[in-house]
Amino acid sequence: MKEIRKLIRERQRPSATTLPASDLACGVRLLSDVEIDQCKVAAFKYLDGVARERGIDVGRFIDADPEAYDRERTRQILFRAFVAPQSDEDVPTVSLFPSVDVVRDLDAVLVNSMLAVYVDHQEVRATERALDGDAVSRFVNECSDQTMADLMLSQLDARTLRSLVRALVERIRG
Amino acid sequence: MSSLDARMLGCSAIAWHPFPGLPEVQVGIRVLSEPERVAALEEARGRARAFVGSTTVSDASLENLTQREFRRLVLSRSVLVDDGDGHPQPIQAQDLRVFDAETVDRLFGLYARSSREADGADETPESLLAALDALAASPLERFRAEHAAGLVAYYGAQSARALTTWQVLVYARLIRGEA
Repeated sequence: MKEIRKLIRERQRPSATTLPASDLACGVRLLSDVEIDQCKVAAFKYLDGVARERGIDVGRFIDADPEAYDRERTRQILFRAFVAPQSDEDVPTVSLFPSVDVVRDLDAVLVNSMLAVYVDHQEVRATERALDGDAVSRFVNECSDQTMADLMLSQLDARTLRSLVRALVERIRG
Repeated sequence: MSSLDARMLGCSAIAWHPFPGLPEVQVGIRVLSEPERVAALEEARGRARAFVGSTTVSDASLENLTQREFRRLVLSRSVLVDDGDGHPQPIQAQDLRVFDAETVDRLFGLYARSSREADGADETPESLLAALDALAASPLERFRAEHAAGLVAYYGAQSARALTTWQVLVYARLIRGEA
């Protein structure tokens, strides 16, 4: 179990990034399966509260604005996934934002860009898993041959290629 | 693991698989009995309702939360981890709470496969099994799953899962060339 805990800690270690359209350093981390559920329920609770304040049923509120739930769930995910830069891995991560209200005040373009950063981070972590230590060594060796490198890399789409390269860099660094 | 250990854990057979992304660590999957499965579903339903509390949520959303809770409950009761000391232990519920969604998806994929095999569905085509596993996989793994039948035929492997990433990449290039 020790090895599994280590792997999970490693996967959830925040990656250094910057807030889109700024040079503000921050980290982005993978949420746990349970946290994803917490985001969903927090989004429902928020919308329920807003609807009550306005004296209407939450179902009617969502009927009037069908995307409201998805937008709020995204904000809940970003609030938890974006963390303050860490100098010490042993220190618990702290959200970059003091409250989810701050995320609600961000403009839609920034929110979409942040979501893209989070999704990209997920892709990299997923690709890392597919590349164990032996696969990385083989891949690096084979890529030293130009023909083989072309053979392999020309197949992959841009997004996969980006994830692959970043996963390799993280593995080699690690 | 001895058959006595298996009986003590209340099961007749445990299928062992490498932990996703950690091939040196084996996890055993014990398929739950029908009463255990029903109990887990009931418990998941209760947990999802408690989680939501007095908040109004749609039936579909409540069902989604129930199913996600159910997956974690099933895993906490079916997955055994062998640290190499010959005494496999069930995975701890608190460990499972910090697993990311992809890890849970992959472990549940292993459980689903073991469950189908225990039901005598061993003959299910590799491509169908792999397609199910591909639901939340990485792009490389998705390719591996979507082309499982072709990969198996091309390399003569027992399973697309047994092939290395490198072999999958080479095959990907080959079929692009044929297209």
